[in-house]
Amino acid sequence: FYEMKQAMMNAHPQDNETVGSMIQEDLYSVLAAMLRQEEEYECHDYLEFDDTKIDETCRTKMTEWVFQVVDCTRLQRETASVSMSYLDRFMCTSSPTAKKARLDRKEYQLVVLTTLYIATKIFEPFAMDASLVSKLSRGVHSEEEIIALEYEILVALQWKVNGPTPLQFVNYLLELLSTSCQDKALLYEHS
Amino acid sequence: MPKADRWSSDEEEIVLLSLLPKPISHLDEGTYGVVWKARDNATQEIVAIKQIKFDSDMTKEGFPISALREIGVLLSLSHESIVSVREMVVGSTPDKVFMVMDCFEMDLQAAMKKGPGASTPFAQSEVKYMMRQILSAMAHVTSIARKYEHPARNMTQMVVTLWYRAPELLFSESCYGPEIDTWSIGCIFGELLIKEAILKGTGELDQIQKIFKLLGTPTDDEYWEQLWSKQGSTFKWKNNDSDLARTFAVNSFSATGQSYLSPDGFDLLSRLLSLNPKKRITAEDALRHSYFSCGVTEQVPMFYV
Repeated sequence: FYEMKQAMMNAHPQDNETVGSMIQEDLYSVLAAMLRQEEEYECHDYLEFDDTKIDETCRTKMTEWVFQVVDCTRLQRETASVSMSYLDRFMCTSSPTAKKARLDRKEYQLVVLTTLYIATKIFEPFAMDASLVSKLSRGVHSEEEIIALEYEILVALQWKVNGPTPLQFVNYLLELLSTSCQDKALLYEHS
Repeated sequence: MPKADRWSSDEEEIVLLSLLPKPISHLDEGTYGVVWKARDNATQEIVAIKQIKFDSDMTKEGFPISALREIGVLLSLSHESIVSVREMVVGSTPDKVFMVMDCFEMDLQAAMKKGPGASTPFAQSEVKYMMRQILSAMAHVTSIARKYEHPARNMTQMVVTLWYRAPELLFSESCYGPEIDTWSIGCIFGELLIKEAILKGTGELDQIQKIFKLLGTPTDDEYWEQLWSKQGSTFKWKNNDSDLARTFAVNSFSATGQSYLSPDGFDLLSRLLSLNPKKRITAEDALRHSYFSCGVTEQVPMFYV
């Protein structure tokens, strides 16, 4: 996928035809900037780490749960995927809780809750209270635990919380296509 | 992550050389903690260090939202005319979080007061230089910000400092885009020309009146008719004609202490200050405007050198 994107970047724009409200050339430069940015938000496959007890099933369950919460509370699905990206990046760090969470599923769940808490703060008009997040865990995790972990996660991610997301790439790549608006909306919906 | 003691030497954890002047027009006042000028012990560079202000209910709501958003966005931007956050630094306790940023001697407001004499207008070439910087920074932000089209719309009515607030926001329009920023840039353009804020309203209503007085009441405008009828407004605004041409004289040599303004410049100013947000020029288009391609060449302002 990365190579495909690279190839698209290298293909020089032929003309300055306006695509939507943005000129093609601008689109290429935005995509190029996003690719550069993406490198700073890198992450590894922590399911392969030697010390991990988290497996694919476990992560899949958590992903489903996050999307369920987001759908029930009418948040944007994009917020859920951003929160999953925080989760994955954090789990690769050597932060104490990340290490613990690789061994302990309960701790892993706490990380999931907290990354969702952070993502809503940044991308939703209305943030969730830490107390609500605590309720979501059915009282397993306290507000204090969530707030303390929020800080730990932010430090571990070095406050890099606005990385480019796959959906944004799709959005820009779609603008490069010369299909009709309706088709684009449909394609976007399917992505 | 580096600890604050890289800048250390006393119990305050950072070397506080002198206090910077407070930032001028900020979008979210709440986030602004104190800004310090400090020396980086590792590189000897002078940097600005801003301490994030925490509300007392930090224990309830965790890391402040506005600060979190500001940091995230600044870290994802990279433009020569936008102050960059070099890194985030933490102290010994969670309420000690610092942003290490490039250090600038002054902000625009301070520069306007300084200059080669407070009452001397900027040279046309200097105004042009600053306008290009502001517009290209804005174009960069807009291209990145397109990624965040949804969030936090409801709150933002209140965020822009009154004097720079676009008219549609004053009428509680809650659906908008980058046009509100180009309006603000128009206000700054005018301010650079006369070294004084051009629309100094004392309240929201007064701000509207000042805007309509300067730019004329939008009597025959589709956008405003729609907005007002949507809001069921029966209020009749006094009919004014635009005063813009009289306020900003074209081709005249500073009888009024105004910077020289070419006809191109005036055209750009009026397009930035278009009452109809749909017709307001975008930052990208403004950069392609003849103001920048014709006439005098840009020059680094005196206060830089």
